[in-house]
Amino acid sequence: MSRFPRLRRRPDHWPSAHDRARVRAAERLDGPLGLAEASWLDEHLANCAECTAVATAYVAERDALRALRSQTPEPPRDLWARTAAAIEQESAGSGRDAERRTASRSRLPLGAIAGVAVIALVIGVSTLSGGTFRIGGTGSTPGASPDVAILASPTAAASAAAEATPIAVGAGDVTWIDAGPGGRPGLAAVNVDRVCPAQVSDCPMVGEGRRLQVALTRAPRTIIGSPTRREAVAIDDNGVAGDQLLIVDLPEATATPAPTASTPPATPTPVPTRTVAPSTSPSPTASPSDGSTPASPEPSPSSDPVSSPTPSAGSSATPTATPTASPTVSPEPTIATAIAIASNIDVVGESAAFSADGAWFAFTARPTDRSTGPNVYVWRVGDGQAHALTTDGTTYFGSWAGDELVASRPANPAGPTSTVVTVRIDPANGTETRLGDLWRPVVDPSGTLAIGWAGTIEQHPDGTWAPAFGALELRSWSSRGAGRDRSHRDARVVADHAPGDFDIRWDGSGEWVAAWVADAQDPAIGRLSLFRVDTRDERLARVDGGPHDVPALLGFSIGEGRLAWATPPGQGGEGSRIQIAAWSAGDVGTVESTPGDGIVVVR
Amino acid sequence: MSGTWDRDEAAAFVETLFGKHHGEIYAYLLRMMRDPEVAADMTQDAFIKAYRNYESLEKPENARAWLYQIAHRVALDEIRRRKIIRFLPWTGESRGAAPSAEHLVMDARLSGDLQRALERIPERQRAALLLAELHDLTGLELAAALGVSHVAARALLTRARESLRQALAAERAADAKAEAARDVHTRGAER
Repeated sequence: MSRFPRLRRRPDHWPSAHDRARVRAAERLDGPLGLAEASWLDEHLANCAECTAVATAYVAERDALRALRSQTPEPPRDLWARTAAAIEQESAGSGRDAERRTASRSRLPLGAIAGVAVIALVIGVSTLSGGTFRIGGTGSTPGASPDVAILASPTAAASAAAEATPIAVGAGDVTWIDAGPGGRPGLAAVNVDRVCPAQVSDCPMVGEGRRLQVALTRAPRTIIGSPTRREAVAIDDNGVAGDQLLIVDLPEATATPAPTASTPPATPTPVPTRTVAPSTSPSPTASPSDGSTPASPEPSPSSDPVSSPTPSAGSSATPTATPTASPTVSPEPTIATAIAIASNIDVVGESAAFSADGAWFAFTARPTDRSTGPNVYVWRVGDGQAHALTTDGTTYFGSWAGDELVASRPANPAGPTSTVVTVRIDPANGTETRLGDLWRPVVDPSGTLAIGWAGTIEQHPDGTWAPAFGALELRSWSSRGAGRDRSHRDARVVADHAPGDFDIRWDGSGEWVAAWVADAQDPAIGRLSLFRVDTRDERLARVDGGPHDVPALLGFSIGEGRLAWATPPGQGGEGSRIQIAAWSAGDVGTVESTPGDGIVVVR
Repeated sequence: MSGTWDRDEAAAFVETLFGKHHGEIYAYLLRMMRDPEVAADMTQDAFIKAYRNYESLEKPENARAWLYQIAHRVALDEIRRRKIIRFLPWTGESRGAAPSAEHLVMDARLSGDLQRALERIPERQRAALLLAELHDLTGLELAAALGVSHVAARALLTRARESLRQALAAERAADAKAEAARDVHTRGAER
């Protein structure tokens, strides 16, 4: 094809001056020529129209090729899943066999081989687990949830056999805010002590008890309760003014005694308690926000006990299946003023959280005017304002790890894609320690495990960074950051596709974790899954009877033996419902509320 | 990098490499093979080979060129095998099946004189051009990826530019001839 001579030649030996000129013209595209040769070429081109045309053609071809750079083909989304499966198989010691199989790839589609590998791997996991785990499927379809083991509990099976037997659980309170009549937000709470097994189809609903007033004029987008105080941070969408963070006192809800299953009382007896919500001590600079209710407490008589019948009472076809998630209320609370600790910002992502000791609150935000990118903000309880802890404009809060926080940022902020740098930051002074490359790791209470995005991230048109390629997965965690775990990967992956956003929350024991992965089209809706954590083998098990990939609005609450979330509004105008999954000794059951508007679970 | 072959370390390293480079490796192989399914399989092959040959990587900073070298060999092996076995014609459709939607899109993107001209030049020259101009490999990286010396890589690239120029000229001449034939046919039909 080429007319250029391929035989070795002396530097000064050319078939013709035109050959020399064309070679030099081509070479000049890849690097500067020597001074003498460049001068000679320029002189030749000035007097040779044909060689000039060739040189021009070289440049045009180069530019045409470079123009193709913008046409980036998209690799298949399951490429990593099948590659990882093949590598894992080799890693397991069957390298020779795998090599032979790969060598014959061209005779069989490799995708099919990878599928077989995944199946083999999953079966291997099942076998190695000694029968404890049951397998829920095979394959790794892009956009679908990865396979994880299902924890098959003998007691759950027994419950299934006795369909009508409710599951007694010691779950704590679940609280939420809803729009209520006239759109005035109120707080509702239930104490869950019995739930229906998954097999019960006509499980009675949790009714709404008396609603308690909160210092908000509208339902917030998100509300996160303090682990130690009766207050919460509400993230309120203030329209064009961006978001504002409000500190809201929560009324106290006291649990009612649980009625027995055999004699469900029509009207549970609440224990009236006078609630005085401890207010924060804002600094003098703090001011009531526009979105808050003026401090005009209207305490109702504390002697006015509020009772709420358990809706299931007498209405269930199988009375013994009656769950007893009793709405529990207190007398009207003292309404404190909501304090704005941050405003004119846009909160980014769903990772906002209190530290375990309740002393700090951290979140990711950026100014509404987009003058800088996202940074980690912290609020020390009692301070008047939250403040930005980082200033680079690319740092995202992941979670708390002890008394420090863990955050992530792109290694190459110039983008458009990047690997990840994870850092541990002291909230008091901003001192950073680099920890690895997990995006937004959410560390468990023991500090030994974390779930985060392992892979690359990409910059979206709005300037924010989000997962690109990789997987949301469980990793070991230490003071040095996330481990490079390779074993039984299929039982560690929460999602193997890039979520627009995600929210991971552990219960206090670290034995249960829930993962919410946002829908690609509507970031307010996602899929929620509950996992039980095998802390010894560091693997996740899907829970029989628990939610897996169920539709859920953003914001859920996990703790004290229960997981609560809000379902998206149903078709036909039906409102959202609160769904509660509760567990005890491996038994998991569920109960749900009647539909309501503007439901936001207090996390 | 060499020394004890730590499988976990190798797997973690390849995972990181995959996150950083799988897109460009896939794009390179797709441009070489023009079949998305084959390119995906070969991308997988390349990363499996990277895992197996982890200890051959001397310096982590050369990982990208090293990866391209593996992908390049995977591509040449496949092309060579196809030529020997005649499993599929070089420009044929994927495994005898109807062209996929992806393939059609790829054809639309890369169709035209330039793509056809690229297909006409020798594989090693095509690889050199793609790696240098589309994948932005430096001279040293290109040499490493092609498995030749820096001087040889530059010479290969120079020959490739001339080959592409001639192939493009031939394609355009063929286009002009076909267009002229259509014109004659059209005028005949009008008369």
